[in-house]
Amino acid sequence: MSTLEDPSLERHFRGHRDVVTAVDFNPNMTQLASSSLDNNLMVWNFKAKMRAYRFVGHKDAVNCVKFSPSGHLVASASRDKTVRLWIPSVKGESTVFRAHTANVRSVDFSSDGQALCTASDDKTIKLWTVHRQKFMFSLLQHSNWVRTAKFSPDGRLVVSGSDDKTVLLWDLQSRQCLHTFHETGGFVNCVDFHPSGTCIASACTDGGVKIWDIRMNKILQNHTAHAGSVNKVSFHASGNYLLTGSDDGTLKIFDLLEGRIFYTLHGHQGPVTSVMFSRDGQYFASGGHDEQVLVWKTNFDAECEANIKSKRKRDRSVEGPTIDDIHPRQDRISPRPVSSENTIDARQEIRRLEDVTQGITNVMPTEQLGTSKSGSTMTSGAGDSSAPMTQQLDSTLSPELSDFVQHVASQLDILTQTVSLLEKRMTMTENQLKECMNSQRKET
Amino acid sequence: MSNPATDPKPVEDAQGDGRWMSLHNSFLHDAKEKEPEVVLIGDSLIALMAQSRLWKEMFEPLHCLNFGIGGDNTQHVLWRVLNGELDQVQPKVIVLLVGTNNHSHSADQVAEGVLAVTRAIQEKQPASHLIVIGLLPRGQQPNPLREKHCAVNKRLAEELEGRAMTTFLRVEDKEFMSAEGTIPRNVMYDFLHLTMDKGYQKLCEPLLEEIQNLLGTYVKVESTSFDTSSMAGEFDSAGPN
Repeated sequence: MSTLEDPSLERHFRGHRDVVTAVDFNPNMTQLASSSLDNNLMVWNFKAKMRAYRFVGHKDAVNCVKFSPSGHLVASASRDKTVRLWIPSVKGESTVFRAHTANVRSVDFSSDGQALCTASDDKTIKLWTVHRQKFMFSLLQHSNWVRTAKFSPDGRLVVSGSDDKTVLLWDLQSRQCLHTFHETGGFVNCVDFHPSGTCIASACTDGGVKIWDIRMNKILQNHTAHAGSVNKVSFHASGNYLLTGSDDGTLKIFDLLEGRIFYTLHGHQGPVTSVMFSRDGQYFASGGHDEQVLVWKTNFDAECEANIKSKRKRDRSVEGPTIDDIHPRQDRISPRPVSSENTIDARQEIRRLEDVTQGITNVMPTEQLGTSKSGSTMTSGAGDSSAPMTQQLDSTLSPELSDFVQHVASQLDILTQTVSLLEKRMTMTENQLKECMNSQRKET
Repeated sequence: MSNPATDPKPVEDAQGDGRWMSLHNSFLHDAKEKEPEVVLIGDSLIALMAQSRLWKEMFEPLHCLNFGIGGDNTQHVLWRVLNGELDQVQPKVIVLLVGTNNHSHSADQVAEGVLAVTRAIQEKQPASHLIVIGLLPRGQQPNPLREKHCAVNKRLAEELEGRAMTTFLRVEDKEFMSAEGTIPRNVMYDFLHLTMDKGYQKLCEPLLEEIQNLLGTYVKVESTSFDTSSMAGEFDSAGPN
């Protein structure tokens, strides 16, 4: 019987100059990426002596950042309507593509690293290839800003959340919406898939966190513990814990097997705007309004990990977790003391943990050299390779011409959407025709 | 003599709980945090709109912020505008309704007060479109205040006519009344404030139409079909429903 330890604060990164909007660990745990309303990305290195990188390039707030499954690329989504793919090194090469006609709120990689999905205020979700950033298709049904869209672990589904108060589940094969979950409490800020792919969590502006079963299309758990809007949710690798960050200034960890809060963590001043578990669940990171990025060690999952490994050995022939694994079980004899939720206050610790402030290297695309931004040393970026037309033209054309080009680009966007709707219509017509012919055949 | 209706002042904390200032600060906080496309500001008629049935269905999806405070006069709203409530936002539309509480001021003074607020708003947010709502009638029977409001509205209509980025929205008095000119309680339950369903419906329907025209979007109440804001939205993919 191992002793369970409480989560502890490990690192404290400072460098952003505005609200931190997203955080993500790379798969081999050597780096942490964060995005901010200050228009920049930061990539923090865990190795003590290494400097952090500040990637400059986006022209407006960066809303989301994600490492590719291989860790070789970082994708960022911005209010400037573009998505950038960066190589997280000191050279910081990136390519940029105009993804939407409005603010891009989120970007996610499929687990095979081949596809990207982006969600935007233009009410659409778009799927792209990672290689060459080719547009594949749009998912159109939301009637308001889409704040979040994530791939399922098996890559066959996408779940999205929107200000139209719905969470939609999409099938990527048929490009149809499979199910609509109604979140009556408010806008949906964030959604995430359970590692088993059988259920999803949603974070709502009314402070609620819901777990929905996507096979039975019903709600499994509804937690109302947060006192303010819940901004982000992240499942632990075991699927037994859910991490949330809220406007009420706290992070909470929910025990999904017991169906209650396990920990409440204080560390940020003001709203917590981003949270994320590492891929193996041993660490988690958070970012807030206070411009800080905090890295915590989970600790309480040590028992979990051992259990997962032994369980895998035993149940290799049996199917994955079933619905019973998620339901709170009242009569379960808990190995840990059934105390009320644990509160961790790391605010004092932050002051002690005066982080050996990493030097920050500004990494910029070549066009911007010469315009110094901060005191730290500058290194030249290798420039954007194979950047799409609009980006290269911007720097050399007159404003009227570049306006015209942007207008044409947005018209093309609209045309693309129209064509995809026409395609859909045609497919539906063909299906109906097939049905008609079949029923006719049956009658004769 | 200077016009007290145009002299920006906060509301004095006569009761001792500092509520007005707390509300103002809460609005400042919201202005920084939220991303509104529409901001509504004014007195209780604006404030209580957020409790109406229509608010959740029709206004919330438009990303609205409600900065109404009950009892506010023109000079109080003016103070709030000048003290930061419209500083951090970038709304596409701003809606203003204030003036019914300026009891001790003449019609001309009230009109001047409203106009002063419009000028302050447009200085802070020149790129937003401003909708000024005309004062509503009050009192069960015809009375001098109704006439005062008519005079204010007449003056506002004249001054705002032709001003760029400005709409003067006047809902006809008779909309709120029966044939004999009495206001029924199911429209204004205390002959001043609108009821949550019937009363606000009369005000909000034309208001929403104007807002949606300006925003260029259409909110679907029973949202089932595919809805996009581009011209592609014209193709309604007619499903088996």
